[in-house]
Amino acid sequence: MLRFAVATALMFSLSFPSRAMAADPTPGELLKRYDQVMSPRTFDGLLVMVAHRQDDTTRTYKFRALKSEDDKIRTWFFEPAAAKGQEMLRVEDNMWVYMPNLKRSLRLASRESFQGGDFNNGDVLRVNYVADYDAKLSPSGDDKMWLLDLTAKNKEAAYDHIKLWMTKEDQQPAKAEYYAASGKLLRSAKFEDVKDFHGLKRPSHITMRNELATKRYSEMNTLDMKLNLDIPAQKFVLDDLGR
Amino acid sequence: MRLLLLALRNLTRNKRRTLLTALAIIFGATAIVTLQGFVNGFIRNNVEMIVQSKLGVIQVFRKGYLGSDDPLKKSIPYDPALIAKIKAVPGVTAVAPRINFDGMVSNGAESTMFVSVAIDPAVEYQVCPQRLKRVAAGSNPLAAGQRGIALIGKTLADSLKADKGSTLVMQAAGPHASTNALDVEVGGFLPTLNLIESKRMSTVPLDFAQDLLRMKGQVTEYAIAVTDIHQMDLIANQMRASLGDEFQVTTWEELDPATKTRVASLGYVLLFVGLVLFLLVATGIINTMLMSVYERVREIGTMLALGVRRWQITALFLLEATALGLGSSVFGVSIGYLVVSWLGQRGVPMKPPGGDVLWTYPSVDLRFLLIVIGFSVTGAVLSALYPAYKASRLSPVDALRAT
Repeated sequence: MLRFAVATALMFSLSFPSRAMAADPTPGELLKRYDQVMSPRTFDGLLVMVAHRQDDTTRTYKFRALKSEDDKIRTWFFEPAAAKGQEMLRVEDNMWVYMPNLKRSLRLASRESFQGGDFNNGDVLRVNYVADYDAKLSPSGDDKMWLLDLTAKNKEAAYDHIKLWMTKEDQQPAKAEYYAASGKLLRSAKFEDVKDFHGLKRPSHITMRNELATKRYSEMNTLDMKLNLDIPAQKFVLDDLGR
Repeated sequence: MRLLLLALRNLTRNKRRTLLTALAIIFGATAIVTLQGFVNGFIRNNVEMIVQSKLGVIQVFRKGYLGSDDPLKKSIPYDPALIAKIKAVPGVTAVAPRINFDGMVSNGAESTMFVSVAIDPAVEYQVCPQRLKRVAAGSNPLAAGQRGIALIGKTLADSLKADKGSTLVMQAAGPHASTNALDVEVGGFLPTLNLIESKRMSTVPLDFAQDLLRMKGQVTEYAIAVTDIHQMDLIANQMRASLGDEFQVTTWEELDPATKTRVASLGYVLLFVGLVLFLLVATGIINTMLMSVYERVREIGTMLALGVRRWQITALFLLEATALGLGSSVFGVSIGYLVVSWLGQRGVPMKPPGGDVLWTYPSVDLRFLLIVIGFSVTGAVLSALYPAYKASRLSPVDALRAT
């Protein structure tokens, strides 16, 4: 009897290959995975952004980024000299930049470019795709990839629409395309060089291309990322900027 | 009457001296009238540039729009009922909806920032008629019914290597956090009034901006034209009362205090120059009159001895000064008026740094001419007071004996 059952089950699974992949992640799970990889629950990271500008010059920004348990992010800039001492803070939908020469914090919009590069502030300071987008799986045309179609579900989302490719093997983001409401492709990103950061494997090199101004692109390298930290809430208060 | 004749004849006694004094007054009057003509021309240019081609006389915003971090969130519905309410305020002649926004514009390879005002060509030119002329040579203003077309600053176009007919992509975010992008055709160029505007400014149709910003049925302001700009504060107050707390009503002076200050400071400059000229002319007259008193000491003695009253002596000198002041200032003002009228007909080309040639049309009103004449005469009389007083105080005996 048992044999028969196993055999039937086997037959079933053979005749319905899709059933065999019942372990397939749902779009929601993939999205959650993206958030976990790209913006772990808490982290203390050291990153370098290289912005390639349209006059063929580059500018390198080195900064530390800190994320709190309740999804607040703070950054400190070390390089270049022009940005040294600047700090950014995001709390919910609000973003500020602290200007050391003004000794004052100014408001930022998530759509504004992050330090003049091709990431926008939202791309860096607000990675919470589960909160901002509805996901749907689409045929990727590549059996090593999942293709997620993301649609903004609130007005705070940085893009109207995103196509996100994730590898089937280890569920890492591979590339993404970011679209405007009009359907125009604004930017595209490539996620490469998966490295192990204190137990979390994630791409350490992201290239963001400005598809409307193709001479421009920016690279974001993660040098280090410590995880599961206990960071005092005091660090994520506007008054703490510049201290 | 006889005194007056005598005064006039006295003026002709030393023709060269009278002429020199008269020339000083004539020069002063001509200079001040011409200067005022230019100042008026500048003021008109400034006010026209601001009011008739840009701001409109009065503007209505949602309260909190000005100075907001995210002004597009403080939009106003494009509502015929609201427009009717604004139009119902006495003195309002036209209302034009607008959206002010900014974003990035790119040509595919490169991108740069832009600032834009979106207008409804069907009504905009009723409020800002000069905007029709606010295009570069060879370009046409936006017309009703055109879609997806923009007028952009020449420097902005050059930096993106865009020509008339090129397609660019404008990126901007409305009240949402996410950016939208739309193709836009370069329909022509804005005039180069200054470098910053030429580098950043663009004008687009209202419906294009509403699509791009996803602000269907929304605008950021209403610009308003009125019958008489001098009544604008009154009209603005009535509009405040009519629209209520939800809206903020401003006049162009409140929105552009820089121009207001510039206009006011031109007035101060004029006042200062006028004062200097006035002092110069006055010292000239004092000198002339004192000279004639000293010259005519014996004559005055004779007159007093013959029974001429002291007040008549005073009056004689004052009349001389009045005649001199009146005659020469009328002459000077006339020359100034002719110069200003001629330049006003012809126009004076001025080239602001980094901008296209701007024609200034000097003009001066009759009231100002009368004021100049009035001041010249008063000045002459005041300057003559002391010499006249001195003359009338002479003792006839001493005066007759003087050499």
